[in-house]
Amino acid sequence: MKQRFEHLIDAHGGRLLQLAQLMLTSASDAEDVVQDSLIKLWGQLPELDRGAERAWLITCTRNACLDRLRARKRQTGLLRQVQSVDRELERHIDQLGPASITQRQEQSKQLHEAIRQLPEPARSLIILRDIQDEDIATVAATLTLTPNQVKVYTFRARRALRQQLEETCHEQVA
Amino acid sequence: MNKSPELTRNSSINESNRTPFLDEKFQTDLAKEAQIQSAMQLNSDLELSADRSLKENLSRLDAPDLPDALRRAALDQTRHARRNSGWLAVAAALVLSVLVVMAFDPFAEPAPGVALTNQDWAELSLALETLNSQGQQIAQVTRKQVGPHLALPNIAMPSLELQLESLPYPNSFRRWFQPSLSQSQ
Repeated sequence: MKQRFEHLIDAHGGRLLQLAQLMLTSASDAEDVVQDSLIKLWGQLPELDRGAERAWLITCTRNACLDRLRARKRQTGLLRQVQSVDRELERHIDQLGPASITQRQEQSKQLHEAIRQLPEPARSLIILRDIQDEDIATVAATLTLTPNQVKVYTFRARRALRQQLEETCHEQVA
Repeated sequence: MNKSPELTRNSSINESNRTPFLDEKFQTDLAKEAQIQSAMQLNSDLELSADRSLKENLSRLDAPDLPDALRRAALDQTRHARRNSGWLAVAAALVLSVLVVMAFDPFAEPAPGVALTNQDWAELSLALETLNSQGQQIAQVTRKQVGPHLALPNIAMPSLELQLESLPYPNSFRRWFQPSLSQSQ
């Protein structure tokens, strides 16, 4: 079972971290969520069928992210969350140095921020379908949607994301 | 596990998102998504081309590697869990061994309420009858073979005249025990 667990960590750990990073503003929060999910997986592993672990991990990580977002919003309010996002961005900028930040990295940050601004389940659909290329059946099972709902909601989420990015670009130009 | 959709959203996308999620456009959007996925006939529609372009950009975002510290932490936690489960196994084995000893304890009273079946009674009575008949046969044989030797022989005892003289101090100690004798004397 230990080998199976290590294999699952190596196979899915990176993608889970990406999912958590795109949903949460804090990098340390994202790592905490992934670690908690992996520990829960260890406890659940004897009861999980082989092949069902990925969907289970996605559901567990996503729900933990949503719980954290709700808890954080309750505790500090939206304004403070925005401030923490700003601080996180400033910290990244300080670490990298102004000269090393390319335009592409800046665009990537804007993209991450725009994804975080999406409501659920649009945010999860963008991450799982478009970024991580998960199959429709897994996403449908994870989000308790029908396959057609996954397709349509992904289309609409992508539209919303594009609109969000265009508005950001317009604001920068203005 | 809370799966309810998150309601809080940015005010700028709030109104724009509500409109497309109406069911009346479901089939239209389904067809458009199929077009985007297949990348067919997109040139005629600039919006769909832009959607496809965004999808391709999103798919280029690579997942980060899991940090070693995080991987180690997860594995360490499971090691603790394994150690705990090892102790649990030892405790379970201990309890099991105690139960086994109690179950097979020869000094323990038999469990109450053990019902004997008719077959058990039949076997028991057959065994007792066998023992009884065998015992009776053994007793008859023994009586035949040993009985004649058990009669006491008549041994004529010759009269013995030892002619012993009486002891010189017959009453020396007697009077200590029979004070009436000493008084009469």
